[in-house]
Order: sequence, then C-alpha cells, then structure tokens
Amino acid sequence: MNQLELAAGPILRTYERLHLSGVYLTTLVLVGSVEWFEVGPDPTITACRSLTIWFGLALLSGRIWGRWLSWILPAATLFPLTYLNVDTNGDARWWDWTGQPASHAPCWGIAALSAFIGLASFFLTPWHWKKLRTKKF
Amino acid sequence: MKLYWIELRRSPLRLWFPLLVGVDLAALFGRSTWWIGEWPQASVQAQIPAFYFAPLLAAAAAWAAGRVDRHNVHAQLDAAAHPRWRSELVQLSATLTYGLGAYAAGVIAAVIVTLPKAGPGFLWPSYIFLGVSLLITYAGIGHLIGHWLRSPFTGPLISGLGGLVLISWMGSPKRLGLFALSGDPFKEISQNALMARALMAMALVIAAVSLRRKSPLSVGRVWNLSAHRGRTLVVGVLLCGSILGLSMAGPVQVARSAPSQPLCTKGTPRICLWPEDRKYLPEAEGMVKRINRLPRRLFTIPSEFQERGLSGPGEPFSGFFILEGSMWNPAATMAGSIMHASWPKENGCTLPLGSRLTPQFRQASADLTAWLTVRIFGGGTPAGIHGGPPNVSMPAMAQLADKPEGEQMDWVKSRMQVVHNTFCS
Repeated sequence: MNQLELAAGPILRTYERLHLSGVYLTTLVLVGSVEWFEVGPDPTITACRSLTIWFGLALLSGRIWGRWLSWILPAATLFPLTYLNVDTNGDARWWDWTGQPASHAPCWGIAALSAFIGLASFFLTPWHWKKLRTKKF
Repeated sequence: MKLYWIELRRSPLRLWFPLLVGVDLAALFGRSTWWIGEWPQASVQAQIPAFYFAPLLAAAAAWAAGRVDRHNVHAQLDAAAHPRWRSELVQLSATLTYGLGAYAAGVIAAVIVTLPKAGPGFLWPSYIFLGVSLLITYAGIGHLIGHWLRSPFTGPLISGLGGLVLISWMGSPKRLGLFALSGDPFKEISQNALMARALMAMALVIAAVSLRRKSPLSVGRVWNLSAHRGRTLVVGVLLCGSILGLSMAGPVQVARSAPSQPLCTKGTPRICLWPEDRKYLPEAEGMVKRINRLPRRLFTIPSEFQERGLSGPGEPFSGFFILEGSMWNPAATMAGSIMHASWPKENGCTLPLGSRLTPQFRQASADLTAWLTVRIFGGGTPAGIHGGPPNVSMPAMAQLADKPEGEQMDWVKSRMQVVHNTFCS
C-alpha cells in the first residue's frame, strides 16, 4: 500500500479525498441524527462541533506521525477535557468544547482553526509542499 | 536483566514517559489544591492519575505482547533457555515500569507539597496501593488481549478503549470501586477489598504470563485455542475466583473507627474535628465566635458539633463533613442542628405534620436556616458552591447578614413567630 500511495498519483488522491469527505459526512450524519432524536438541537450542534475539532486534530496527527498514528492528538484531548475542564466555580472553561453550549463563540473559533489546520495538513502532502516551494511567483 | 533493559528501550511508552509525568502532575495540581495539608485527601489525589494511566498501560501492554506475532518469534521464544513465562513477565514489567514510574512521580510530588503543611502522619498507603493494583490489573488485561488477538491494532484498541469504557462506567467507588474519589478522614479502604484487588492483579499477571495461545503453525481443532489445557483451566479458575472475591469483598471505602482524642475547639460550643482535618481548626474557632454572637433568647445552641464519624461508625449521617476544602457545608449542617434544637418545646407545641406543614412555615424555616448558615460561615456562599434551600436567594441572605443587627433581629423575630405559630397552634 505504501508503494501504491507513493506512485499512484492523482487517481488515488481523488479517492482519498472522496473517502475522507465520505467518512466525515457519514459520521456527522450518524452522530447528529442520534443526538437530535435523543436529546435536542443544542447538543446536536455541540456534538458536530466536537466531531469537527477531533477530525482536524486527527488529520494533523496523521500528517505529523503517519496515518496509523492519527489517534494520538484526539486521544491526548481526553485528559484535559474530562479532568481540567471545570474551574473552581464549577463552570466549564472557555476551551471546553464538549461542555460549552452551542452559542459559545470561542469554541467555534477552535473548531474553525482545527478544521483549517487539519485540512491544510491533509492537502499539504510532500509533493504539494515541494510544488509550492519551487513555484515561480 | 539484559532483556528487561532491552524491553525498556523498545517500549512505546519510552517517548511518552515525560508526557505521562506531566499528565500526572496536571492531575494533581491542575484542578484544585484544597487537598494539600490533609494526608488522606493527598493520598486520594495521588491515586487519581491511575484512572487515566490504566487504559494507556493496557494498550501499551497489548502492543508489546503482540510483537511476538508481528515479528513471528514464537519458535525462538519456545526454544529459548529461559522458560517462556519469564520472557513474558519481563515484557509486562517493562510496560509496568513506565506506568508505575509516572504514578510514583505524582506520589512523590504529593508528599513534597503536603509535608510542610500537614501535621503528623503520612500518605495513607492503602490508597496508593489501590492505584498500583489498578495499573497492574489493566496491564495484565492488556497483555492477555494483545497476546490473543493477532492484529497489531485491534489488541491495543480494544484493551485501551474497552478499558477506558469499563473504568468510566463501572469503576466508580459505588460500583466496582476501582478507584477512590474523595479521601474524607471518616472513610478508609476496607482491608478485604484491598486484598481482593491485590489478588485480582496477581491473578491477571499470572494469567498474562502463563496462558499461551496455540502457535499459528500448529495443526489442530480451531476451537481449542490454548496450548496447555490443564494450565488454562487452573488459571481460569484462579481468575474467576479473584473476580468472585472482588464482588464479595464489599465496598472499597468503609467507615473508619473514631479516634480516642478528636481535635476540638476550646470553649463552648465545641466543634470537634478529625485529627487529620487540623488545618480547618482556625476556621472552626472563628465559627465558634460567630455562633456565640447569635441571640441566645431566640436560638438554643447545642453544646457540641461533631464531624461525621466521630460519634462512632454506626451513624452514617450525623455530623457535618467538610466538602472540597470549604467549611460551608459544616456551617449549613450546624445551622440545621441549631434550628432543630430551637424548635418550640412548650406544652402543646408539636412538630407540624400533614396539613399543618404550610408553605409559610417551610419558607420561614428555610430562610432562618440560610441566614444562620451565612452568619456562622462569616460571609456569603463561596463561588464554587451552588444551590441552597428552595425559594431562598443566597445572595439576598448574604446582604441581609451585612445589615445592622437590629434590622436582622426584626427579620429573625418575624420568621420565628411563623415557626412558633405553626408549632403551637
């Protein structure tokens, strides 16, 4: 598979893009519909936001350490989100994207940043990066 | 020994170790520091990172155990001079070294921080050992799963995620009791429970190093997966026995027997604390002063207030307990005791029940209890405490307590009148 990924060029890349979008949208629909029918609109939006953040983190993690190790950054968020997320008043901290409601703006900022960095790390493959570097502007 | 050092170098946890120590220290200090200065609470806080390390150790042990399959060294290990279980034990110990090392870093940090602030005493080893047995149990489970599932990623995935799910859903002190969350001085770890968990850890380690899956090259019936049937049976019985022992051992935290000399404030009324809670004694003395400023004609003050468990382990709910380093809960309990002692006791005055229990009486009672709490505590509700009696605004009570004494007495007298009328009608 390794050899295939190195040599197969644009066709494999197209399928990778399709696969990625398919996985993301399927998970979004599954998680979102279960949350919608079980709980309500606000937790649905929060869950979709959390999914986007972890999606971006997984893509970044896969780019840094290889695709088999995409779980590292999402797993690393487990401890802060479950243990450090509550301040001394008992309120969720500003970065706690699972605890803050759907209206909380900084968490949407985190979601946008994560999605951007994640997608950027997916699209910036080594040959793309080289192409950008050697491009004559 | 050489093999042990090789396994330590090869372990996937080697690069993660500084991060693990960081997580351990963040778990100790990142959330709250009210536990510093009290030995049982410090012990529980040092034990909490075991909750997070255990699934990670399970996944790491599964990954290490799966190496035998991935590199296909079954034949070499079977033909080696050392017995097979020693090689497996060395591998398991390497994983455990990293987990226990990060855990120990937290324990040492807890000791260093608590030693100057707390009095005589030391960390309670039972809590620390509870964490150690959890880590060993999970490492054993991970090793077993990694050895039996051939795929390099399913083993760590199932043991890591499954372990996390198990400990989150079933591990709380009221259920399986795999970890403890609060180290109140009136509770201690039950010896039976600790022994059951130690036995479980030992049984899992024995199972992990001795159960052998049939080599993939051997020909045989597919359903008979284990290489030695007799050994598998014995180990299986040992495992089932330890699980049974775990369920029969009872709750992990039980009531502690009262000390002969509780720590009490001087003068009347006395507030008596557990000796471990000595850092709250100055606050308790402040509360005694504030209680003595309450009007004696209106309120009857009990002569003694005790922390939970000081009057013996038989009464689980009498007495106050100090919640998360704040004396607010004790103040509320004492306010309740004062209200109870101040009920009218003249002839013809009985406790209102049924239709006599009017909303006005309930409101007056709740108001008075809240006012007493604020007066005894010496201020408004702390920021971290939410809620209070129903239909009572705690900020309004805090404002009332700041008003002149005469105004407060008029307010109290009107409420006491309602109480008196309800009792004596």
